[in-house]
Amino acid sequence: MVKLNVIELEKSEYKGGKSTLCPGCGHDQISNVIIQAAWENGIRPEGIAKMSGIGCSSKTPAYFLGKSHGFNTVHGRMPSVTTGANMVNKDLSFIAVSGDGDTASIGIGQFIHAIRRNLDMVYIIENNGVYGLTKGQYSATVEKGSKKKKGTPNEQAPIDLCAMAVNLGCTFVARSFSGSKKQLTALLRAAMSHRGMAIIDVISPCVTFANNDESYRSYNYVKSNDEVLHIVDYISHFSPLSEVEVPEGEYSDIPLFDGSTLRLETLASDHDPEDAVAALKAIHDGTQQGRHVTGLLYYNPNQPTATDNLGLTETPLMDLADSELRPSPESLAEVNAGFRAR
Amino acid sequence: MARGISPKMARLMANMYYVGGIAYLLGIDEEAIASAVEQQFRGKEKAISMNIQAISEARAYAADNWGDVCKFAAVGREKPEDTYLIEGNEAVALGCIYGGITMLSWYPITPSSSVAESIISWIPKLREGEDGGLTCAVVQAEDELAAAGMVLGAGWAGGRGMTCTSGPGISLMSEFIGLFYFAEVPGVIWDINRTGPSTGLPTRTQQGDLSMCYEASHGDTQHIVLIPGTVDECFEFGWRAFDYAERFQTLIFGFGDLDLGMNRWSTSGFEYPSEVMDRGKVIRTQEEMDAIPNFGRYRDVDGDGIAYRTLPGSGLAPMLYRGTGHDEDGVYSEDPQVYYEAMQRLRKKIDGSRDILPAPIIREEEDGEIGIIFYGSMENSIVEIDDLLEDRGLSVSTCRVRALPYHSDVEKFIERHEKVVVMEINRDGQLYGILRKELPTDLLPKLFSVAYSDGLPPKAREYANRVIEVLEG
Repeated sequence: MVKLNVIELEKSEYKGGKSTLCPGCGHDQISNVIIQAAWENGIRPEGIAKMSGIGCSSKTPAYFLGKSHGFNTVHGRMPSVTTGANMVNKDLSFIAVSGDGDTASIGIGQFIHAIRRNLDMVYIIENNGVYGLTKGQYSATVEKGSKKKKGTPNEQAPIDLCAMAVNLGCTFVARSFSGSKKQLTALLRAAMSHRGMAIIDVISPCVTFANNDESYRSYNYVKSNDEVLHIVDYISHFSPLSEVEVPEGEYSDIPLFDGSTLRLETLASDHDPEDAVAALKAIHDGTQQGRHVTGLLYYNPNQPTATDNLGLTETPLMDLADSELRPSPESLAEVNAGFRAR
Repeated sequence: MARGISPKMARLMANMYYVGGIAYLLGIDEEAIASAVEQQFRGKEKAISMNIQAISEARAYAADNWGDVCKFAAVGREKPEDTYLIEGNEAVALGCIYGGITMLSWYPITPSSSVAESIISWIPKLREGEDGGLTCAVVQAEDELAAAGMVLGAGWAGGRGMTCTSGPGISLMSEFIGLFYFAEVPGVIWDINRTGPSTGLPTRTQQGDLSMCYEASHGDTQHIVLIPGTVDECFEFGWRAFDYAERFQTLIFGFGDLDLGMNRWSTSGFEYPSEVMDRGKVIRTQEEMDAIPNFGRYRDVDGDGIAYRTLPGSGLAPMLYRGTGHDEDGVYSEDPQVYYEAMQRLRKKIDGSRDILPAPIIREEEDGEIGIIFYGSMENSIVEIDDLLEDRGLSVSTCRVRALPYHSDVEKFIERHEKVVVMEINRDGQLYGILRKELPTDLLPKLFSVAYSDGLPPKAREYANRVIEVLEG
């Protein structure tokens, strides 16, 4: 028997075209997680808008959610297109994919301002530290001392997108690894249940240009240097709590916008995701030791989103009848009168 | 003299002596001046009395020393019933409001900021929806690139997006402008020209952006440009721009300038939109979809180069829009024939707009052998230029181009005349260049260019002299 989700759709309804990325690319694993998470959360595929910029990662919306509209925009400018679409249709669920070049270099301005506006979207960064489509130049997120397959080690300090997002007050900041399917799925499902800007920075090894052991973003390196903050479990609002496994140790529950819950099982230290300074310290300490801190870094719920303070109609603007968009002839007579020459 | 009234305030009042002197020369009524001063300094009694005293002193001095030297006089007249004064930028803003704008994104830049600020001020008064919420969103963007991206997103999602800027902004938006064209997304950009190139003369006027707007962005592109010459047209093209954008599924430029935009011009009142909104070929239901044989987002079903589109959220024919090459179904393609045909269709689509866009305004002289083509804010100088040419024995017909790609009437106008001068406010003759590129070659020997720009609004004598110069060759 075929398995159906809560809105009675098969998982195949969430699939996309065949990937043209290199075999073994971390990005393909992320695409699979996006399919899984959207299906498990029971989101209507037609209610989703897939957004991306330019780069290997930005090609991937062709490989998932084939029943959703999407826009593969221009390099680094996806947030502005998403903003415009969100303004006229706030009911769409935006799932965006970007890369480290697309976000941390050419698109850093739009990334920052989308965070500042708390744009209601899921923003996934498929972060491999190199420009793949142009054959392996370093990007701005690569660690100092990290070395790709060819060439010399990177000498410049990295831009840590999560630390920056926390500083900017982003309302949901997480980091994960394309090889950690369980963690990534739980975090992505939580991001989809969040209202506001949810950023997931996913370390995603580039198998072609930077999967050598001297690369801080290779499979081997990340596997042995993953500093997991907590074990995450997503509990959807429609699944009965009795079916949820209760961890033996300590845990805390994070309530999400749609009524779902993210359960954080405490590991070595107790990270409070609502503490921005703790998040920054965790990132900083990890970087000092050459380790990648993963998990829900920061969470600041119930903040107004980009459209909340504009006083707009309940109905999305694109759904309003033309008659609501054009003021009456009488109003124009009044407008004219206001400009009478004195 | 001012120090006699108040040593401390003398500098501030010095200009009032000019007012008094000119009031004397032109014979402006004392009471009219006094009431203007009172209005300016409303409530500040001391300032009013000191300034009026300064004006009186100057008037007395002028009467004693200058005598009767002025040929001109200012005479009062009855207040006309149906004359209104408005800036072009506010007229554009109101046009957008009545055109059903649903998203304004903008980045402040002189001289276009007042378009955005005016829209913002009218939204609460004119655009309240049935549930009391507003029906237009406003985003102050982080830069012009983002402003253009937001317009693109809004148009893609089924809204009526618009941004306003000036030349430097268009330069920055150019990448997105190509995406509008190639992915076929509706949107509107108003360019209020200032003097370029580069930062140029930010508070001066020009028609220097015409060829840039027409062909902005890399690769082969072409955009519809609406060119108002009066405040009434600023209003009319303000609302029409959205209809054209959705009809042709492309970016529409509104082309204004600082002179028309930031000065007040008279109108007899804006006319209410004469047509219902044109939302273009948007498929909104499954029945509509079923009625189209062989649907593809970029398939020319009707033969007019305009394909049907569906909106995100509708669940109808979901598609990943892209700026990369695509086939008729929107799927990535580098096939040579597919690319060639896609580009031919785009040309056909924009070319098909010529005779649908606003036709030129032609003032024809019976025996006119000379024609003058001009556009935009030069409308405010053309009568004077025409008079000056008539004084020199030249009877000319005029043709004011109101849109690009140009209407077939423009070509016919050129055919009818022996010599045609293209007159514009820039250095290189940008419309002249566009005409030379697109007209049949046998008409080209008839064309002459008068292009002049010094940052100021057109001076009739300057242009009239140059017209005679080129015609005398």
